Amino acid sequence: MSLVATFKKQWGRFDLDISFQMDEGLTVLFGPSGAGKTTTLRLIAGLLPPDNGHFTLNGAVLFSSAGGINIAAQHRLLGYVCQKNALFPHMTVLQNIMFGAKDLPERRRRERACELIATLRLEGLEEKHPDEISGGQQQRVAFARAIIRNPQALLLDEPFSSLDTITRVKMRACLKGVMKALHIPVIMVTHDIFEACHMADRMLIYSAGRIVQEGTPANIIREPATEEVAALTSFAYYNTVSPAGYPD
Amino acid sequence: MNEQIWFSIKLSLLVSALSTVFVALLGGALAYMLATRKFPGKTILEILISLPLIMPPTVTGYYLIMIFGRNGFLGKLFHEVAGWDILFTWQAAVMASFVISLPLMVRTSQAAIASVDIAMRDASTMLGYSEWQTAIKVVFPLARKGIMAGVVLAFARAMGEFGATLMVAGNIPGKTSTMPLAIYSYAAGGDWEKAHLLALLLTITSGLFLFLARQYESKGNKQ
Repeated sequence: MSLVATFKKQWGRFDLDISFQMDEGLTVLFGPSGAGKTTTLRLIAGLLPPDNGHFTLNGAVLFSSAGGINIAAQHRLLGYVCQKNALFPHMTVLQNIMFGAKDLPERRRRERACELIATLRLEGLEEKHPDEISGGQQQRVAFARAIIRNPQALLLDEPFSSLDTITRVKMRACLKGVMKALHIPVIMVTHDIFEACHMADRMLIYSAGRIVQEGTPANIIREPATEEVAALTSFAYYNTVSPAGYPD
Repeated sequence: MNEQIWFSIKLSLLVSALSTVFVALLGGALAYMLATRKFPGKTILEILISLPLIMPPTVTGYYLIMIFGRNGFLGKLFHEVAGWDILFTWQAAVMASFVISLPLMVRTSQAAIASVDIAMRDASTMLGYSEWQTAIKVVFPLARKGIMAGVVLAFARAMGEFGATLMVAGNIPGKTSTMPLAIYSYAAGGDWEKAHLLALLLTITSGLFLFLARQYESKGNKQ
């Protein structure tokens, strides 16, 4: 499983010019606000068209400006979870999750949804609506809905930012467990350096529309490529719980 | 209640119901397009749709005559192709009600659809649904209260439509005389008893529909 992308996008005065390759595991996009992290996710998702570029997923070309290819977002088979989780308020938990598997027969959709409900410990909430469950439960429903169709990659845009600290810690552990079983590239945007270090197999550090450093969290913290990266990661450096890196 | 009054009531209900069906279908689609798309001429289209709200209905009727009259662009076409003249038929009353009540449906529904978080549409797209499927399964259900308020207002407006209907359908007893037109005729002829009865019925109906629209709108705001 691999995801290879080169994107250029000019938007007003903002100029994004990035290139990266991601394999199985979790890659965190980290950097200041307005650096282009969420834009990158939307470009990968197909929700925003690049000006130029090339994007392949497991060898299949999903976008190529040179080849005139632009596979529509709904055909890209990517899971996407955003900050607001975007659960449909008019559907129950079960209906929200089943909504993600439109190509499966009804019976199989229900079975698969029930499997995910068990995996993500959402039992008993099937008939509740999103406004009747907690923020952490809502986020788990959003994950279940995103992965029910077996996506080829998972895109997470600040998925924990609206949760309290304790729920965040629980959700990180829960998500890591689920992701290990998926064996797909997972790309997560976060502003939280601790979250980035605890979750990431690899990090891409963004600054003003460019990737200024990439590597493992431990390497980036120990050897920041620029003063800006050092400043961005310094809080984690001085609060490192283990010099070798971060525990799961 | 005499036959003429019954005819007016039945015709008004038929005209309003048919007009509302067309308004709901076309108005819903227009509202969705205006709420979710940017395209050249969008502002002009919005103004054109909204014009009947502020123009005197007789002026709207006048333009309909210009378009659908025997010498009008569409009227001539209909006459040559089908040998059919729409003016001074009950179908013309449907057309007048449709044009007059369309802006109420579009404006109310457009606001409701625009208020649906774009993250909902993105989520549906990323789950493999086309724009059309997303509109049907996500956007319209989430905007349903505002859309229903628009439908109810459009029906109420169609029930009370007078000026444009008089221009394009005339006031032919037993053929195009809707309730508002019948009230005008009875009042002009001094038959106040029948005029009172129909006016009371229309007032109660309009009040009821406004109440329903407010219920839908307030539920929509709470959503």
